[in-house]
Amino acid sequence: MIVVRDLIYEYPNARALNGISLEVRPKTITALVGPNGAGKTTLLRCLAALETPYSGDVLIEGQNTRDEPRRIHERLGYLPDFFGLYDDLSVRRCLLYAARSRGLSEGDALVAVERAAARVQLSDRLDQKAGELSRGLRQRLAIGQSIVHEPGVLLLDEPAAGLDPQARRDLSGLLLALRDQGMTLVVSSHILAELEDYCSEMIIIDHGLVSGGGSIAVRAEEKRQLLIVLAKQAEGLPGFLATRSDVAVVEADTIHARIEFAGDLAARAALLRALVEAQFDVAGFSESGKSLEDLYFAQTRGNA
Amino acid sequence: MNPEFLRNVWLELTPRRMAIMAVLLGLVFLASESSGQLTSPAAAGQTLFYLIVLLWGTRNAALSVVGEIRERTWDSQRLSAIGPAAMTIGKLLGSTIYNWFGGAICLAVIFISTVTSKDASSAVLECFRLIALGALAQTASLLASLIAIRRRQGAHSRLDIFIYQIVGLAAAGAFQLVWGTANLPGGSQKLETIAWWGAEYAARPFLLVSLAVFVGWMFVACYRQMRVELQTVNGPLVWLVFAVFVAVYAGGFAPHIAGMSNPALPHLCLAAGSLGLLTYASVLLEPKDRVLYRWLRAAWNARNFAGVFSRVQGWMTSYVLFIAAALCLLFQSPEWSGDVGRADILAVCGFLTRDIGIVLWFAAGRTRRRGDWAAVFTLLAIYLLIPAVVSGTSKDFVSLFRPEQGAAPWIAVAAAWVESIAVWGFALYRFSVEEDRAHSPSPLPAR
Repeated sequence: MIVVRDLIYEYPNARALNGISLEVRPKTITALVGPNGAGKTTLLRCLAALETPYSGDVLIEGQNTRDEPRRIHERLGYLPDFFGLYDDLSVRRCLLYAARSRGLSEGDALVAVERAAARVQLSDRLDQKAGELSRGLRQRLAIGQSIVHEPGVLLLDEPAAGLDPQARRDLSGLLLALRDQGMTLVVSSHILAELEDYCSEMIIIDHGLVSGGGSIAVRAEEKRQLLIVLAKQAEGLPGFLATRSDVAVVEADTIHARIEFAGDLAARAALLRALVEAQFDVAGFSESGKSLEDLYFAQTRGNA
Repeated sequence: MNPEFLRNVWLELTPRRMAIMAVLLGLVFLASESSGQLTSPAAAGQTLFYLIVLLWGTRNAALSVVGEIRERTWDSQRLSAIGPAAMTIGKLLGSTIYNWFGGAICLAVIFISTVTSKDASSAVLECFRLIALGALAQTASLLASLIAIRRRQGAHSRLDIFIYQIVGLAAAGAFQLVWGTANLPGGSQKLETIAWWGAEYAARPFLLVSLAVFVGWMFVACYRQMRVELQTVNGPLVWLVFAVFVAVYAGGFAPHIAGMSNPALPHLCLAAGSLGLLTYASVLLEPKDRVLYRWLRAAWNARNFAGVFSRVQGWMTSYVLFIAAALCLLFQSPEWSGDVGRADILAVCGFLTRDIGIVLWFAAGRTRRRGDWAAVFTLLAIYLLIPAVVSGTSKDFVSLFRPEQGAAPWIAVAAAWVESIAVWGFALYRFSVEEDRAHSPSPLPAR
């Protein structure tokens, strides 16, 4: 879907990307992480064919950004970290302009506007001016503009910056829904917690290079990690978990366990019930929220 | 409809704003009609046209892209499927559509007044002139803003936008200056006809056609800048054609000199001069980005001549054409076969080469954003200040810095080319030092 080979990007006084190579699998959400100034935004802009690299290749759906940047533009959506909206236009006209400017005919554009508004849950605000929307709703509108032409690839630069917790949760749901509908997403951020909920792969950029040399599977989507915490120590916890076929133990001791669990919500409830019936004093039973951060620091410490 | 134009219409041409404009203009025209002696509706219409279309319109044209950058919407426009021509038209006409709405009301009043007081053809010519003048000013402002964007001039302050506006107004003012001489009430100063390539043309139609042609070129320039903004590579051919056009256009104004065996020489002189000016303008205005020169060098080293061709800058093309014109002058002029004429031509070539080197030397520095201004001040010092300071000394001394009539012929030639070699050497050294400082080895471009 996205292939980058030996990408070098240079500003007049410095080299921002130092020969990056990576691949992003289709229908995934990939986190692009790294410290400030690592080159994440420059890489995203090169992926969006907004900047011409000094050398190397970026292939989006098999098309080289250097050869046909305008064709690439038709196939992707990009939301920069600091984006603007036409505050005096209504949500409908913002989306309509985005659709028409992406080459959709008048009839198709009207349909696309309704579809994009529904996707970002702005159908009830189509006649409201963009300038009157809250920060979270403006973010939704900006994403709506980026996806109105049904791109195969969506690039997002710090999409959750400045959002309140509810808006962040809504954003996670929206991005997962877009992935489920067949889109490939690359999300750049240096706040790992915000990526935790929806990213399945991670690429660490540092000093203009991919740290560790490639993308890292954060977790298999079908095998989410669960964190089990007990109120009282129980020697039998690792053994109990090891006997279950739907569980893969990542780490376990007498007070807590981190497991990979393939089941759905009903299966998860059954596991909790089984733990309680086995006399374990379960005090916590939640999705593990540390795997991305753990992986990041494990990777960066390894390189240090 | 062009989506960019449509978006501007949504924002600019609301019924409320249209009603306000129509009512205000109507009141002014009513007042001018009833005031009698004070001013006529036609004069009021012309003044209002200048204010609305030129003064206000140039600001809107200058803001049409810069405003998008300020509001952080430009990237999404660059990602759109709108082509460079449609984007240029959408920006140019769309951002100024409200001004043209007001201008159209003014033009209607001017047309009716002129038909009543003179005739229909005068009215058509007057309206054509005003429309072309407005288009020239607005296109020049947009072009100035686009050039500034390519030069990465930072945040584009209000002063920057004012400067882009002034560029548009200056272009219109320059035309008005010439037009004014063709419309003097009478007397010997009035420009009735214009001699161009040996033929006499009526001044006013000639100037109007010239205006229209330059508006066209200005639009082409905006289009090419827009292509770059939309990630499309420009080849050097259009600039080559433009440079030849300027040389031919300017060369046509050379006076006929009786007794000259080769009557083409004055034309060639003017053509070469215009190419020289074009070289100065382009080398100062074009971004002298070290990355671009790295590409150029790498493509050259790889014998990738298509790559070289696509990255040639306008000043390089103009300079080559200037040197070609100078060589023609050098070898095809029987009158100038003596040392003095040849020396002058060689000296001018040398000083131009040196001056390009000075601009590049400043561009190679780390404070390159101010480099072009520093280069301009240095050149002004070389051509005006130093000769003024040493005016008491011999002409030969002055000719060390610039061509000087009456100086020993070959001193200027030797000085110009020695200085050129030295300045170019310093510039290239500075480029290489800054390259090392950036720790950027130069791999070959992929293609």
